[in-house]
Amino acid sequence: MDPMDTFISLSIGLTGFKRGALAPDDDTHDIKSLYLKTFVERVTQATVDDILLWYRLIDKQLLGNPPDREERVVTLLFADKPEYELPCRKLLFLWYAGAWPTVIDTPASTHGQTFSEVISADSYTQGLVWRVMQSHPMGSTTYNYGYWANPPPPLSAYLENPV
Amino acid sequence: MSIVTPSGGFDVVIVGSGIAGSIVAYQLGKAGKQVLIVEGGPPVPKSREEYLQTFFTSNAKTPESPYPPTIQGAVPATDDNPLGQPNPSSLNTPRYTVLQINAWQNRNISYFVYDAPQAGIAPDSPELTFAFGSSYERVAGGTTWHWLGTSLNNLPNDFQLKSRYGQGVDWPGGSQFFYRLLPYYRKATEVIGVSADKQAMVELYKTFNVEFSGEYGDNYGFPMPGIVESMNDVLYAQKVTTLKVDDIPLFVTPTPQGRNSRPGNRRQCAGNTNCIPICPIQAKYDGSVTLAQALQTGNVQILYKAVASNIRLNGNQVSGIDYITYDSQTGPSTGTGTVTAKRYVLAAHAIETPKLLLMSKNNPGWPNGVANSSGQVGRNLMDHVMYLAWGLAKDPIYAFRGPLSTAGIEAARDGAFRSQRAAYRIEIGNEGWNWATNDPNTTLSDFIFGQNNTQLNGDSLNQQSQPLRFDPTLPAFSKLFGTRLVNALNAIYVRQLRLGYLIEQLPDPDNRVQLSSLTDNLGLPRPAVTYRIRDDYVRNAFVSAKQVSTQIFNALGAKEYTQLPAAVQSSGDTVTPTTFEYKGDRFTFYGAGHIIGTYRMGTAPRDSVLNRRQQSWDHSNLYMVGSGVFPSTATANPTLTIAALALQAADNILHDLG
Repeated sequence: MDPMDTFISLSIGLTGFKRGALAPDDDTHDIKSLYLKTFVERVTQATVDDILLWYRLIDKQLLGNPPDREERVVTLLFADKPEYELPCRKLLFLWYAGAWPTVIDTPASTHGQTFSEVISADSYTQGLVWRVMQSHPMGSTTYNYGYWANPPPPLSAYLENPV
Repeated sequence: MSIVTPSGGFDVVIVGSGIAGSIVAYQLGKAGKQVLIVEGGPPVPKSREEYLQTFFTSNAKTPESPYPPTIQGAVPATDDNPLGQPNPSSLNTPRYTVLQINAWQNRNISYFVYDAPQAGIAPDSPELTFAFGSSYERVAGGTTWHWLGTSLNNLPNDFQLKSRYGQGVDWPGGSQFFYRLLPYYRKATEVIGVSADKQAMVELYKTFNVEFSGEYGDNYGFPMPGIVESMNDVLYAQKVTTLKVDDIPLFVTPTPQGRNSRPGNRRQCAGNTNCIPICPIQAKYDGSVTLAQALQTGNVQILYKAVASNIRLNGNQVSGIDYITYDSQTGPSTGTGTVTAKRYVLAAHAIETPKLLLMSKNNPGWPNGVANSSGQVGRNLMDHVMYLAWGLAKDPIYAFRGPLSTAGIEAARDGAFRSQRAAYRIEIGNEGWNWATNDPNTTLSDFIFGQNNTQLNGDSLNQQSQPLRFDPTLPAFSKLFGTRLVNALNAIYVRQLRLGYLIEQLPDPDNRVQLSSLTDNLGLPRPAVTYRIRDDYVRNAFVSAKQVSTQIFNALGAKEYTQLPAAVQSSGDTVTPTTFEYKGDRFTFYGAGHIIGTYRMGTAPRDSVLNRRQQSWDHSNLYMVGSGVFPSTATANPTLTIAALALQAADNILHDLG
């Protein structure tokens, strides 16, 4: 598997979205490349290599081919290599928000808070958070007048397909 | 930009090219008058895509985020300036932004200069001072760039608050002011291109005993049919009719809105859910629409990046306006000039207008500034102070879709209760908890990183003793990923509800804009602002709003998530900007974006700046427009009234010019 394949499998396990949404065949935005690059820049090449290596090792040992294969691998990855959970969660946040998070531990009452830095205009509009709410990015819709009076397409349509 | 002075000179100089200044310019230009606009900000960009890209890449998507000067990432981030906000003293056209509210005591960040609260002041003291909650823009087209689009009339009783309820002040002529303004309200709906359901408006105003007749009567139609209501609106409409506030039955009214429900000169609204900060397709009206029309008359010219700095007087007449030009926002000034005309109009909104009047203090005989023999310039700063409430619906209502708001509960905008407490309208939000908790990001980080800033992922109870943890089968502070994250987030976002109460504020002469000793990059003084909510009349409305929200969410079968604000800190590093205590409870107020009252109209020169023609009592060739002229906030969002008053002022100026 090349690093991008593993990166996408890891991202599927983290985000709960399908391959068709994260890495569509006709991928005009190619947001996955921006995110892999950002992941490397923020957590170092060595850490990313190691996370992807461990992902592949665990994946190989998994018996059968369960439908939630990627999520199972991520569960095992977090158990085996707890030091990789936080960087992977930051990657998860990046996919959803299109922004790189800074997690701080105050206030203690809320177990901390998160600030974030938008990576690009594309990363904002491609954020999965808009899809998980069955909507569109605030400020960028392809829907037409009046759509808001009716329920949206089912959630599965947003999880499986590109925008 | 070269200005060609007409052979007979300019008829009118206007300071500011927002909705009010542009409307006056267009009306005068259409009538063949020669007009020059002096605009402090840059021109409308060739494509609004420039502003949109700035918005997309902004970390904090505040109302001002798309517009220059840049307010985030302008300087390297530091611990006490994590967003890299610029120092206002380094900018040629700084303005107040909502990001400055939490930094209100930091003079290197906040453009408004505030004194610290009085030492040891009690959190429920009426003398507690606050950060002002609302902001504005200094660009061509003005603050309507980040306008929601709400286009409501005020009510007759809004104009006679004193004589009817013994509160605040009347507008000149009381309820007659409303009836004189009606034809201009009609014209204003045409200027803006308001989409509204006329029948719903007739039904609404009937409940306030307002009978429309004549020009605004049966044969009047809004320019476009009403905007389709959201699923959210329909739920409220079905459920709130079981409720009353102070014996007034509640019902939902679709809001008249300044956005296209049909394709026309502008595009049809596509529901980008982004009216504030920026409509990406200009389906929503903004001042640049009328500015373009004004310039197209051939009789209106404009100077950009020209900041009005002084008003000259000759005797008691205005004889010229001085300005300073600049090229780049942090660069040096590039020149100065003076413009002259037969009449002058100030349209620089309710902070920069009084600032300009107060700065103009070197005219012999006018040491307190121009138009300020009453001492009222800069006083009576007001906003609709907002109470926010939020909750989760039982079933999906699919938030974050459609215009930010498409309906409201207007019934509590007037009634006998107004002898005791402020009126409010209740805006129904379509944008989930975007305003209330900065969602979607806060819910997202709560469930990814095991935090609980939304109360959805912890152990707490709401004030009705209901547990707030969203999924009782999960432990508190859960960290989710994969399918479980998808399911939790989806179930939360599609149910998010938000109500906003626009509470009227009374004029208080000590709430004011003055000149500070600090300056901007052009050497002009930065505003010193003092702001309190002293009146029980206003504070009582917060108590009412809180009770009513709980009743509404109960009627909907929704669970309330409104957070109790953290305790008031009146000293130290983190002075609370907008929280107060009252009657044993604690409230945070929000700005509605409605900056009102700093050069008010009145019936006598001793206690007002303008007569009802919006003409200075002191200088008969000087007019002022915008919400600064309002004697009280009244109960409607101000823009339609601003537009109507600008149209009326244009007629008055035309009459003067003959």
